[in-house]
Amino acid sequence: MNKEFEQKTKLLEPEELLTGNPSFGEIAQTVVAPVETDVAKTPLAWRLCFSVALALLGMFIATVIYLLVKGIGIWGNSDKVGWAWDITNFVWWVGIGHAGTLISAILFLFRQPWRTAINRFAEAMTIFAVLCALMFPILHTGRPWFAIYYLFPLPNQMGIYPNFRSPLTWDMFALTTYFTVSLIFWYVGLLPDLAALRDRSKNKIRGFVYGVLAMGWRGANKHWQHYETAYLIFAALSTPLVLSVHSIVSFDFATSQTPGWHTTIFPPYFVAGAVFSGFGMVMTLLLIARQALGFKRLVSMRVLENMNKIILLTGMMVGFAYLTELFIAWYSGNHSEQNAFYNRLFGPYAWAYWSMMFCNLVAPQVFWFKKLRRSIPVMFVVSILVNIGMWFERFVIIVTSLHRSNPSSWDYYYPTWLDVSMYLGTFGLFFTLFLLFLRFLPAVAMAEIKATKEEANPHSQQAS
Amino acid sequence: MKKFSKEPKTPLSGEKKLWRSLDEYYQTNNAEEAKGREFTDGASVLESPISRKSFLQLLGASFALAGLTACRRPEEKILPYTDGKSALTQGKSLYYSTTFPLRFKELGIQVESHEGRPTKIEGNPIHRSSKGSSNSYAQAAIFELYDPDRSTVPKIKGASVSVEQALQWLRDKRHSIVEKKGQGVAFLQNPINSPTVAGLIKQLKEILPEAHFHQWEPSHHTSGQIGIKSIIQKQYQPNYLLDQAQVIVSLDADFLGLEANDVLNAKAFAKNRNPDSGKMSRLYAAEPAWSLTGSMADHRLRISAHQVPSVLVQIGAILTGASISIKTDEQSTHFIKAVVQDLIAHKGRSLILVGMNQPIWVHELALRINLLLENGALITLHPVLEPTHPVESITDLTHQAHAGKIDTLFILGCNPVYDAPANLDFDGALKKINSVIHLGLYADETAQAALCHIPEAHFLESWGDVYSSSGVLSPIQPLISPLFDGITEIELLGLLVFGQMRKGYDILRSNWLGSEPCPALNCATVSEFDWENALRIGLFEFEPKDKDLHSEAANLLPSNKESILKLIANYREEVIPDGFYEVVFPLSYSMYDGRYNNNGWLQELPDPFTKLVWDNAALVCPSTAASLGVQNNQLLELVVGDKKVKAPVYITPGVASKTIVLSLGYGRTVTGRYGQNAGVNAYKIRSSAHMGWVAAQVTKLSELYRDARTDFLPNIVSHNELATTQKHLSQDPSEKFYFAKEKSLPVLASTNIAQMIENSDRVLRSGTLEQYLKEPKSVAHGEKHHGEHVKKLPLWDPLPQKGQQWGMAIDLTSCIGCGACAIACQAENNIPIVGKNQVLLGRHMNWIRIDRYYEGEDIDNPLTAHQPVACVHCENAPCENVCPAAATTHSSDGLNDMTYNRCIGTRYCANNCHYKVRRFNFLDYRGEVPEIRKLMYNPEVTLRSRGVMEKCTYCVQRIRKSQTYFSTVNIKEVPDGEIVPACAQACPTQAIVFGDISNPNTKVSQIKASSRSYQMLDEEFNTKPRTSYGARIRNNNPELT
Repeated sequence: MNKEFEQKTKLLEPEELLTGNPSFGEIAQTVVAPVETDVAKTPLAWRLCFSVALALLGMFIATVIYLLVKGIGIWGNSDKVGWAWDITNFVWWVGIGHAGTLISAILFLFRQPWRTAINRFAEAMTIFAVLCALMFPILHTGRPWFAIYYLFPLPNQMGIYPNFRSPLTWDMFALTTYFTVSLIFWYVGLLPDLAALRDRSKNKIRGFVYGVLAMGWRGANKHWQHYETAYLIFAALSTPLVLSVHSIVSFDFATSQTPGWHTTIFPPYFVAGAVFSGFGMVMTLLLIARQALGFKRLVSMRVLENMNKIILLTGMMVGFAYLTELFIAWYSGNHSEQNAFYNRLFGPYAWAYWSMMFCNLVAPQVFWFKKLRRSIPVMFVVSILVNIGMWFERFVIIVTSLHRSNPSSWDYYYPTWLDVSMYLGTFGLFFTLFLLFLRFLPAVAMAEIKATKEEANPHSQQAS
Repeated sequence: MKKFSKEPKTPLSGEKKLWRSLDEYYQTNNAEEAKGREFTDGASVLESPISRKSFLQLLGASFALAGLTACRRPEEKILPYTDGKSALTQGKSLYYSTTFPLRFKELGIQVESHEGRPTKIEGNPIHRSSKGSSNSYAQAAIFELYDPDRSTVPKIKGASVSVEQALQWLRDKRHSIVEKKGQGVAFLQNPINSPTVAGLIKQLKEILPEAHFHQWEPSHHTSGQIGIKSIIQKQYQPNYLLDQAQVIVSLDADFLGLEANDVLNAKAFAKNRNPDSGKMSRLYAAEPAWSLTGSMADHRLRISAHQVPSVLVQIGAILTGASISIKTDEQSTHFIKAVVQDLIAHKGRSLILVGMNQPIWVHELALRINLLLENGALITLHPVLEPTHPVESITDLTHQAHAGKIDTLFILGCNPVYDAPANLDFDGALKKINSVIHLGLYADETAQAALCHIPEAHFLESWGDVYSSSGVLSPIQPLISPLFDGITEIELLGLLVFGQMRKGYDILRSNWLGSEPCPALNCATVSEFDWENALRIGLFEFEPKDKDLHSEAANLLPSNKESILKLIANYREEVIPDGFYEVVFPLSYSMYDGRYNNNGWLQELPDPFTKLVWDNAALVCPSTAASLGVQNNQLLELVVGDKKVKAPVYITPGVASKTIVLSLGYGRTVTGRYGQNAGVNAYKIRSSAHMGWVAAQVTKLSELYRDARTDFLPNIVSHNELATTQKHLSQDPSEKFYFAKEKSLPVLASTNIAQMIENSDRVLRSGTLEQYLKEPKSVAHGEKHHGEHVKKLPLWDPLPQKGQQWGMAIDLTSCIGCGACAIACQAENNIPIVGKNQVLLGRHMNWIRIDRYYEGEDIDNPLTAHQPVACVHCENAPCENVCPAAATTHSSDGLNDMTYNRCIGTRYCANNCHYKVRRFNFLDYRGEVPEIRKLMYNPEVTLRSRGVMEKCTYCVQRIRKSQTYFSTVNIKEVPDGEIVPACAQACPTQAIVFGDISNPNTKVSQIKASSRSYQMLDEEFNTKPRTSYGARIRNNNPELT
């Protein structure tokens, strides 16, 4: 290899992936430390967080029971604003669920080694977020017990199938596929680490549980060969799903005729938004976990900086879509479209629109500056703003397009406390699962991160 | 017709020995009593709410004891309208003719009965008053019939007693009053419209020569009659031949809505308002508050009620050349000038109508001016059974009572404690009366103050008769025997006359068959055949000799002009002192005078203009609101003398300046579950001096209206405000911003008013007759006939169309916005009411809503147009594509069907509907239905559960029923006009027409072919709606534009 070239690329490579070049043993020790802590020695912080999460989960379950007993009239939705927080929350959680697969599949295919620090974490977040999202399409229906039944194309004597013209039917297929593939992908990736945990376990129960989960992984060459192939196949399978799921979610709006929804820009705009919000959420959680679990060396500043770059990029893509929408509304000459967007900008929900604009378009611009891009407090604040902004984006799209559709049937939507408890409740579900994940599974892909080390590279000069 | 009887005739002594209990076998007292009393002990004393147990007992008892199929079938013969059906077919409804007896708004109706349960009211096509149509009050009577809050048990001194005990008490009472020849006895009734009641009163006067008879109605419908009396010395009910008038001037006269004979008037008015035939009358209206008539007016003058007479005086002065000095603004002068020119140009074919709330002399003046203009022939006169002046009558009664001259007062069917003029102190008067006997449908305010209260039978449970103010004698026959064992006014009066309880049927029949049924009418005697025929067809036909004002007043014509001059010379302008505001008291379009206060359907029927439900409010125009410094929901205190009332403000464009409109009928203190806490009681400040308006001191209170009914909501932002179904100017937090921006942003204007103006081209299209005749297409399709050049491609292949294709046409030129269609739809389709808090959340359930649009630049003084919108049954229905469960699909005859069983409630269909006509069952809106209420539902329409979407079906049950019938008689196509949806049937102006659009000869196809027919939002969305609209055409006077 050309030495000169290598030196140049070294210059382009700003810093090493793992701060301080920890050894294999150090990596394993760092990653499994939280998992192997004794039950009795569970950190107080975890206990506190878990009890808050459980409380929220309890609130969620109570709300859902009340919802099932009373009907969705307990929310603020009306005949004019048929969807509000329910679908907003759904799209928001699905969007968050995008980062994981993007990081583990697309970045894997693009051979981005920095992904290894965060992929496990992001994938877990994806699965839990999609689980939260799945609550809403089912529970937002008037009769959830029939919704589950009628949406599956079960052969029946009446010869009636779901309506395949309806984007909601596509949604059902897209989401369940995405959830299944993400889950399997995540699980396959976990196998070597589970085996490591099994091998390290000091008591029988741990050994048994991790042993069952590790499915007989012995780290044999054949295992690794199959594993790598399977991982690649899943990455290839997941990649189109990353694009398809949110495109299909956007079809819920784009294929309808409601002004403000009926736009062809939605699929790419929604995918960019999903990646944007997913990275936002990963960033928020990662910064906390990195601090709490002591992963600072594994999740280096370089990883965070790369993520911020993606946030900046996707934020601008989203912002570009916002502006394109406005331009098209004006350019189309269509009164309904113009009214819808004028109403969005200056109507009673203008506060929501401008909050969205600020959070999604303006706030990430700070990442143009390297100093800010590498500042933990700044990126934490921005990631929170991104989460808020992306929630508002869905709210703006859904509610402001609906509330003034027919000129005689204008409405102003107010949420109820139960809308709020439903939404906060999903955080309970999310964090309960997420905290359990942090406590019982390795939050960083040990095997993968080790593979990025120079020592793991057979062609590395250092190794040779 | 079979005679149904509850008494099986199986005497034990006969050859056939059937017995049902040991008691009966041994013929003990229990069994005999049980047979005689229809129900077992306790069953007849039903306390509200009726428990399921007691209802089942009652039901079981009637089954067991009657031994026949029916549970509450009337005992006497009632005759079905339809021929040839001699017996009941289970599952097939029967129609009976009867009469809706609301005074001055009597309607000949046909009532649909399912296995002995009346479920739906429809107009009687051969009855002059309705001609097959009806109004919302009549439509909602079904809800009232099955109201669990109706009075169920007689009360004496506050204690519940059995009907038998109450009647015994009454017999004793009768004994004592007959002995005293009626000394100190008084009667208070609604104005009498029943010949049989009039006959009984006549007999009663013989028995009780000293007794006084009074009539009271809080509305002022007799004003017109008394106006006639002041000219020809005899009280007649005037009727106006509106179909023959070319120019109509309404002075505070809501002849299409609240005045007498609304349905008849609306029909006649619409007949002469067809721009396609070029025949179109011109309507001028001058009024303080919005009325249906004002909204239909081609020119409307917004003017305070106390100034309305000045308009007439000026018209009279110009016509007679009298000199007067009345200061008016330019607009009024202009208006009056144009009116007078038009009146002169259409001499003999014009009419001036004056509203009931105007003083008698104004009525007299208007009638005289009509005579002067040779319009007398257009005013027909109908006899009045018992002429009365209600205000004088109740004033007289109250004074006597205060003077202690009254010992016993019978209050039959009215509620004066609630609605008597405030200055009379009727409550105080009642306290001085020893025994007050109240007969009423509800244990209302008056019942609370009465010594004895007796539940009245509903008119659908009663025998009776009516001589309607439209001049038709018609019988009332029961559809069901009294649900709560109430008795009728006729039966109670009969008890007083005869000393014993006689059945209403016997009294009525003997009155009809005895001699003349109605001496006031000079109609011939009634034969047995006539009687049966009258029951069958719903009216007794005799050659009516309609009198008209012209011929009756012929001898007065020479002195007419002088009388006019005299009236004009006597005119003194009413002045409202500085700091005072005029408060006007119109009847409510839903509550009427308060008697329908507990009618949930009517409570939830939006007011035609404010679209308020469950409340009334102090309506003020924007400029008055600004000068008062008030906003919506802010409380105003209206003080008149020592009486005051607090009412929330609702800003309504089109109300006269410095005028506050507070409709009657709300704020009942003793009412049922639906009327509780609804609105404020305007009667508290209404005095007998000025029944129509009063000058009140107005103070702005800092607090906002708070409603106890909506406090429990889980909303983050609490909803305590007035609930309206069209929320533009009420709930929008950025409303002020919109007003400011409105004019500066012409292109992207999405403002309240501006968008409405913008959309008057899109959604509601209107124009003038002149424009329409010159360029017919331009009104409905714009100057450029916009949309026509766009090639529209469907997303999917067109659906196959088989057989007759259903469609609807709604004519906005004749829609008066009354709301009868909405209530008819609610009754036909079992649509639940949702309550005020749900309306606040935007979940009004009515399948057909009537949108009200304001038109024009002047925010204080806009024009109004109504647009009924139900599902338009798009051929390219956006809702159908998006339903994942395939619960909404297209039928081959063009209906957009809802399969409730498959609906999972995603609400995506509603989101994608541009007409916003889909209604979702967010909660279990029916809830725990009281047993009695279950009788109300139409068995032909599914009850929808929670979580299901619903919407207009074009009354698919009626379509299929008709198709089935015609297929059984081997007729392939249902003939035109055979299928009439509930809304079209109720519509008084026949603005809604339904039929087969695949056949160009049907009425609906012909209407759709008109150049002013357009399809709402079709150009924008290519939905191809099956419902089309006829553009609103106004016959403007070129002088005024």
